Amino acid sequence: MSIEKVRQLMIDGDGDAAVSLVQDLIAKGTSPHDIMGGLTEEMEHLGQKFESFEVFLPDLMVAGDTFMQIMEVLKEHLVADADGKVPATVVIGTVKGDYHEIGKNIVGIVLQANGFHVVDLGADVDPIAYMEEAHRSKADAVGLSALMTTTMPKQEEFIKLTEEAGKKGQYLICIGGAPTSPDWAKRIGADVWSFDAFEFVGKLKEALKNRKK
Amino acid sequence: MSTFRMWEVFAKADEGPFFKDQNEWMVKSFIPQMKRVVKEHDIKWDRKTIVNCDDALADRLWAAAKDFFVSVGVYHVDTHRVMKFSEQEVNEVLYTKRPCYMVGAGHDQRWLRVRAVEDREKRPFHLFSPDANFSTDIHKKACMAYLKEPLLDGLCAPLIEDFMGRKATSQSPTEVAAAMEHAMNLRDAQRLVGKPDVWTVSVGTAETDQAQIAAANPAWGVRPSHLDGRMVSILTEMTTNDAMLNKSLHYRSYGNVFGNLCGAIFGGHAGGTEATAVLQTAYNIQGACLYGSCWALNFPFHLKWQSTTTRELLWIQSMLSQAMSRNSNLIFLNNLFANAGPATDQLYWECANHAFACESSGGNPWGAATCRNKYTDHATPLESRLFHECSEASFKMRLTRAQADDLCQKIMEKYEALIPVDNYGKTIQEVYDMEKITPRQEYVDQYLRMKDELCKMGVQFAY
Repeated sequence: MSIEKVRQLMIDGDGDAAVSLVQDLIAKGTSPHDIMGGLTEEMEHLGQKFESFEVFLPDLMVAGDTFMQIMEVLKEHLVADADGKVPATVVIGTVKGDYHEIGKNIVGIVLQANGFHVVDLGADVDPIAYMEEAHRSKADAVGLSALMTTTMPKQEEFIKLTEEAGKKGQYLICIGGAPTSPDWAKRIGADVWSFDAFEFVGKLKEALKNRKK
Repeated sequence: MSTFRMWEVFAKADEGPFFKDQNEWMVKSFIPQMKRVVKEHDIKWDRKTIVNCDDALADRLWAAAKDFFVSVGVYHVDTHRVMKFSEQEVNEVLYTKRPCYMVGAGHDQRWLRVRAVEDREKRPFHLFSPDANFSTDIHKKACMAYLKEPLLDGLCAPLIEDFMGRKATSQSPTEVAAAMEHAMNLRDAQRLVGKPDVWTVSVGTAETDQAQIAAANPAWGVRPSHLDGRMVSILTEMTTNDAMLNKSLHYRSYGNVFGNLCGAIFGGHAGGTEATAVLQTAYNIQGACLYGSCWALNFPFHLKWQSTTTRELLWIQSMLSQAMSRNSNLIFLNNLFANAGPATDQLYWECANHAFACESSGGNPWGAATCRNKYTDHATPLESRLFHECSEASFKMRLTRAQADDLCQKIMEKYEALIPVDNYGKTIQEVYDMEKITPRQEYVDQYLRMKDELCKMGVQFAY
């Protein structure tokens, strides 16, 4: 019942009340894993509703912001309770010269809702910055978003750089953005391309599974 | 806050309230304010109507957009500050905005102006634009193909894909050179088809401020003053940066009749249909206040399909057109982005529907972009021709909004279920004989067949 209340506060975006209730629940013995499980389930549910436009990005953003506030509280308890599972890390950003962030932001929220650890580098990201962050955070995948035809070549440039640096294959390289296509992804040697954020999560999970085999 | 206050506006980027990033500003300001104005101004859509007939709703949308813009301002991503405008400043801009401009020169001269809802006097301004990339080897011929169109009042030419075998890349010499080549091709194409002084909105290949500046040259490139138009974007959502302010500074000092390019995303930061309509209308106010732009190009689009021809997006175009036509002097055009590609019946239906949804609401047609703007060479003048002929027919028939809605509902039935399908059609090289720069007969036949089908629905074309 109380986890249900936290879920509702998360949807409402009432961060202060949600954090306070979570602290209370933990003090009274509720498992942090159960709380996180409930919240992740709620985020996934919201994500599904967003896919069919029953809810919209602001609802997802407000809930996601509260989710992150709660995670700050849960984090230390989860570490203490860790069962050895490490979530996959994805570094995302919009490529150099491109300031369009919405697609990339949606990908970030949906990935988080699906239990991924996301490092968001923002917009206008230099290829070297992606590589350095991927190395630092031991990324499983790097996602490069481009919304303009004149910034798509930056996706190709990043792949060339990883090849030259001998890093190709260390992480999956994922691309997306309105002007990109499966043909473009194939031509430049990207590992994953998807039509939208929801398709991306499924394709990424599959690619990560195949990579581990 | 118009042109004469340019530097006072720029100073706002260094003086406004600070937010550490766009996300914080979105969650703390943009989203709650949007929820408030939609509720307070009672903006509602019935999920069916395409062309609005409710004047009071259009007026409330205008009030909501103005309220929203004054409440939220513009987030500057480089300085992390919000550029706020007072209601008095906004009113000054709205009062002093010119309702018409003479654009182009000689026999290509035209009026670009504000139209009224169900306007019986002022015909729409026909701006042709594929909004797509074309291969460099056919770029000039593609420009000529569009310039040959009979109804054309202005052109936003195709973009160039490559320069000397290298893909034109933002912020690099290839982008600067491709922008220059684009401008040169266009000027040549204009002379070769006998329309040397037609107003062109130039140059789409130049995404960055430096490429725009490089392409400006009265002798061979983008011309100053009323001879050419330019565009500066509003970044999604309600944000700007120094590069955009640089563009607006350059356009103003060069004297161009320039516009602001604005596309609120349905399903994006604003949310649903009603909020997207508020945001899109607010963008027109923002462009006038922030950049001093003379007109705006509206392309609210669908987050998933990247198109403007879904039911909700057509309602948004109709609503914002009426809100502005009834309440302001702001000049605007309505941009078509279709799902389908050339030589598909679906594309023609989408073009027709967008035209009929906007004209009687006071809009001006800009298009036609195709296949979700994804594929090189996938656009032709034929679909643009139908788009503009439908808009002209709507004007000539004196179509009322109620009649337009009936017609749009029927046309929507033809393609609504096809929207999720990838139906990207053919390239211009397949549809056109690129030596003669004329459409091949089988595609002319298809075009005429589509006109016949529209005639059976009651459309009376001008010729």
